[in-house]
Amino acid sequence: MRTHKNLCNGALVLTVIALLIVSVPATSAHGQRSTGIVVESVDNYSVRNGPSLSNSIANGDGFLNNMVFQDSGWHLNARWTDNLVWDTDFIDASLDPRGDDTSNFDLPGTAISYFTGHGFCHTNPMGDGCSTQQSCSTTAACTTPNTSIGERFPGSCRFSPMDAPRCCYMMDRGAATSGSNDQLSGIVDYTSGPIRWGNGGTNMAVLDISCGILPTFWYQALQNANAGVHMIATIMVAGGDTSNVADRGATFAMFDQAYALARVSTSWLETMVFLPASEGGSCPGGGGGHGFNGCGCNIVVAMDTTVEGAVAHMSEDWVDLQDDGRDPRGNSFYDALWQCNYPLNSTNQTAWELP
Amino acid sequence: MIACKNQLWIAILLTGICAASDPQPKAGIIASDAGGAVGYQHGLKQSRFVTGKESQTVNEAGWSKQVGPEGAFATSLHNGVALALPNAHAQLGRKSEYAMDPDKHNDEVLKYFVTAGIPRDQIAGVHAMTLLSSTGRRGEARASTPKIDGYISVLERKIGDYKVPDSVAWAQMDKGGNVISEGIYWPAIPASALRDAKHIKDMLATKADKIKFLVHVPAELAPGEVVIRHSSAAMQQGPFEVLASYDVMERRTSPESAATASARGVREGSVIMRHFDSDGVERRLPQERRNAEKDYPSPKKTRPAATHVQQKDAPVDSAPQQP
Repeated sequence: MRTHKNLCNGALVLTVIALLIVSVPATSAHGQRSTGIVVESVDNYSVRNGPSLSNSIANGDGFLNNMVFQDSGWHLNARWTDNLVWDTDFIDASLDPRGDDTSNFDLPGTAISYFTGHGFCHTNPMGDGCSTQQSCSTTAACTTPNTSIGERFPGSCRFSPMDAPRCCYMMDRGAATSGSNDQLSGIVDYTSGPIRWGNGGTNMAVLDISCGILPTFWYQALQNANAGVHMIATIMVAGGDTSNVADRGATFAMFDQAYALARVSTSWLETMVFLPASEGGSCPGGGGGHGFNGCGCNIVVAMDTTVEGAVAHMSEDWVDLQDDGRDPRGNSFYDALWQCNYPLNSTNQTAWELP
Repeated sequence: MIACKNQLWIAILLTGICAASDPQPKAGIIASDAGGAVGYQHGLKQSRFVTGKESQTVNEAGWSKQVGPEGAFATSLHNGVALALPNAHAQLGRKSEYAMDPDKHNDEVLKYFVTAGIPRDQIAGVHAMTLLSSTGRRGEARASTPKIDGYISVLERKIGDYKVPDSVAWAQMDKGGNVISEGIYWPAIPASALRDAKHIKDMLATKADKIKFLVHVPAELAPGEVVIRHSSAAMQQGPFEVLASYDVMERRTSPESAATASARGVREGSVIMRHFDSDGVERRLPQERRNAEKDYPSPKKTRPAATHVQQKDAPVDSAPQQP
């Protein structure tokens, strides 16, 4: 285990004692605390015929290094890389007996589970939902999803700085593994697949992948997977693709080091600001880079049985995130926050789709 | 829970008794060697971030922090990166609509950082990011219209002809010009890095030298750019590294995915930035070299009991991947 330099041990001892004193009533009132970290990182996609990546392991390990160190209060629950990352790691065994998420991505006692690797953007099995290429001026015109490839309602007359308005439809989203024991072709379909995170396991899932969500389907894409996680953080591409950068995870964790009573959700959004503006292509009209090849956003979605409950998860700090007593009881309401790498004028509230 | 939070804050203040045994980086200009470029160290005195009444200095986890009821101003004792963050449950941290347009926000943030002390001649530009939110419920025919909550403006750094993409200064301001959150990492750049950058630029300027320099750069990659790269803000361990680099962007996508993207005119594929030093040798930045395998070796992984046992050399079900 790495030892952080410049620790003021006396301060830490006092902190620990003080936190223990005040955390006793919190624990008894809100249940157990989860302080584990799970990291699954894939660079080598040779099992899936590539293309392989270069920075996923560095990215996942950066998150791990900046979260787990002596006296950090966090501990490692699981770290898997390359072909030891299996699609079964993400699957709920109660829904599919091949699944083993409770030993891996959704391990009990875990606060944050971080996956870094490929997602799916524009082609089968999970396209962007815009295959019909029907241009539009209103969402009401989007009535013909290509159901043969999985497109379905709702539709959206979606646009971005890189795309003229065209009809796009809801389509499953997923992460890609390249494991030696994959059982579902390396496709982790968290929209419709046997995925339930947070039902006794992790409190936060981070999907550091391409096209984790596509606008405007932030609720539909994640409702299925949201079974008790306080929030899910991922990437929403608005034109272009995600850049495979080495520092997204480490930067996110750095916010906890700096101030554990800051919002976790905002920390994920602000992570993108530290990533170089020149790494990745530009976004027309200004912006781009910061972890994207084009236009994109870091997004966090929280769900619960009430909108107030969902909003409350967004306000959680890094200490709250550990509290299993805060686990949502349902997923019928959502709150979504995101930050995009380009400017949108505040007088233009359409942002994504033509109504 | 609010009461519990207050207790936590008080607990953290208690640790201030043992504060400041490590020297905090001195705010202001960071000197460089002769011919190098100075850096800038942000400090609470230069900041428009408010931590609140009775804030205390706390040293923990390698950071020096001014912690108050409204938030914390934290400075890494390792590399000087400064972060000002609101308390999750304080008023400052709540969503606040920002009525001005992003250009005005950019102007305000630019003026703020120049006044604070960032050398004006090192600022290449400023750009805005947009914060949005949406709430809703199951069964809605359409997603609720997103609301713009504010902006973050980001300063880009340049020294002479060379961008320094790992340096950054950003801030989110409220309507009154107060800082809601900010982050600054603007280290000094040694003369050797600038000399090397000029060397690469000179090499690329003549045909014979260019061929010689590019011999290690894969021919299929698009032309790159001469930049100064350094350890990222998030590198909270290891020595500071800086190098002049010919940065080239590589796009990685499966043939199937590339064909579809090309046919539809969309930009497809995950991109990776590759770095070539003044000798044309490919380098990896410290943040790209991380590998925790030594500290956390992967144990033998067991298959879930219900899965069928797969022979070691048996073919695995395969589907082409798209980024």
